[in-house]
Amino acid sequence: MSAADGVRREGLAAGGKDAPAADRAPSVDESAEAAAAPTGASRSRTAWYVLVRSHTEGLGLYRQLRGAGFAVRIAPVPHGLQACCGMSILAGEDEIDAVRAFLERERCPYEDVVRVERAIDAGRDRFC
Amino acid sequence: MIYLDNAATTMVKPPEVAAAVAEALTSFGGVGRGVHPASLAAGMAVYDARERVAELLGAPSAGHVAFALNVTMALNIAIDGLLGAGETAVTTAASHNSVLRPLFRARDERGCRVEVAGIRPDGSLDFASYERALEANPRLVAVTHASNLTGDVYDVERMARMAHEAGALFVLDAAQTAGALPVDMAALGADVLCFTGHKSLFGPQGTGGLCVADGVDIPPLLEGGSGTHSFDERHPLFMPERLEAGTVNAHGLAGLAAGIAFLQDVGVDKVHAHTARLADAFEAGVLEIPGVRVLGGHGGIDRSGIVALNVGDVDSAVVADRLAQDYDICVRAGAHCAPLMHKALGTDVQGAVRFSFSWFNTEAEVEQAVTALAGIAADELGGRA
Repeated sequence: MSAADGVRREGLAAGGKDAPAADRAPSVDESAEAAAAPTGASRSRTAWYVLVRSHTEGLGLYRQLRGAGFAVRIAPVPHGLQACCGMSILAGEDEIDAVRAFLERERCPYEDVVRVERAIDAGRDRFC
Repeated sequence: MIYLDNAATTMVKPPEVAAAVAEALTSFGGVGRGVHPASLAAGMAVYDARERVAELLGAPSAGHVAFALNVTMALNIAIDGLLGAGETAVTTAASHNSVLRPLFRARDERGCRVEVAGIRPDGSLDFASYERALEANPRLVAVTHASNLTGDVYDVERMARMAHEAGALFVLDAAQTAGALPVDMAALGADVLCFTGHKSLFGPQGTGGLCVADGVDIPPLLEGGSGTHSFDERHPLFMPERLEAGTVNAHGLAGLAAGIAFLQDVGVDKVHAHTARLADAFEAGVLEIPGVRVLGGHGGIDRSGIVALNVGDVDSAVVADRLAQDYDICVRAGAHCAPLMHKALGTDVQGAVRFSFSWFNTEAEVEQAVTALAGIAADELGGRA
């Protein structure tokens, strides 16, 4: 499975950068069952990566989102998505709309928001 | 031991600083080089340090704070990055070599012109001289906030305003003021503020950096590993990574964050009031000693916790050595990397003995230092005072 498999870009966020090259565009998830939430919506295997430009902006954004009560966490970016930062903010399916609204309202710096099926568990966070 | 060399580095730190460094040494992964818990622990600590620096010094945000090894490196980044070949810079005779030498190198190697505004014998800035220097159409003004020799705090808000009116960027060396007295780079009008971590911010040595205002673009001094954007041929263009090549000193910065947290708990106002009280008491005491001459200290709009003096014509090194050997009191003698300031004060041959106070010094220590100095003056000068 390539790095981009199981990934769906949901268009560009406001202020986001251009879409990636076609050869890096993700395919539709081939494993719908893997996306089923095993323990409720917040533990869904479908997750959303908020891509950021740098570690510093990522850490700042993470703190902002956690401070606002979102159950986000920091996770590595699948390499096929973005070769620049390596860090992303991972949000659950159930929170992404509110997260998006927050990003826009607070004019947070970010590059893109990308949906990933069969993602790593967005609800887990050993760090905080 | 009585440690009165805090303008060089604060030896006594809040215990939280050592604890933070010790914890960091056994728990941090590569900062900005991974997304696993050990790496994130380091990343969060560094981010915390950025945020605290920004809060304390009035930078727009954590992202406007880039770390360096010390204030000298930060000043080199700012001066080298902002001063183009053949352009003009202005500084003052109160500047430390961390400002003077990068400027003189730019003069010698890149055809830049350097104008130096004068300092009067009482330690004050000659504003007429500064105004004349600004007529040279400078690109950059780089000055010290407070003399590291006399503690005189200069009216840098006025200096920044004049610099901007002359079309120059204003770089502030806050080595002696960050953490020692309230500093707000935006209110002061600084385009770049350079700081060190190991003095009044109570961090470990090997920490420092620069706060960069919005709209000021400094090209990197060093390029290399950034942890991100690995396929780009050049270093990232965005702050703060733009000015940080290679892994930053996360262990040290964890200590710096702890030091600043301590300052924020106590309050910089309170720290400044304490050191000012000690400096005033010390000055009043030593002025009672025959033959003692205090250098500057009242030539600015404020004073950091420094009192510089000489005992008659006695070599400053002799006085400092006797304080250390006979009384176990640590002070700094010599030229203090401030050659033009010593020339302005007429102490370039004798040097000066610098006493500098911190939050952790006490009135009892001040009294002991005065007593010790009186003994040395009596021995060295005899009836010559």
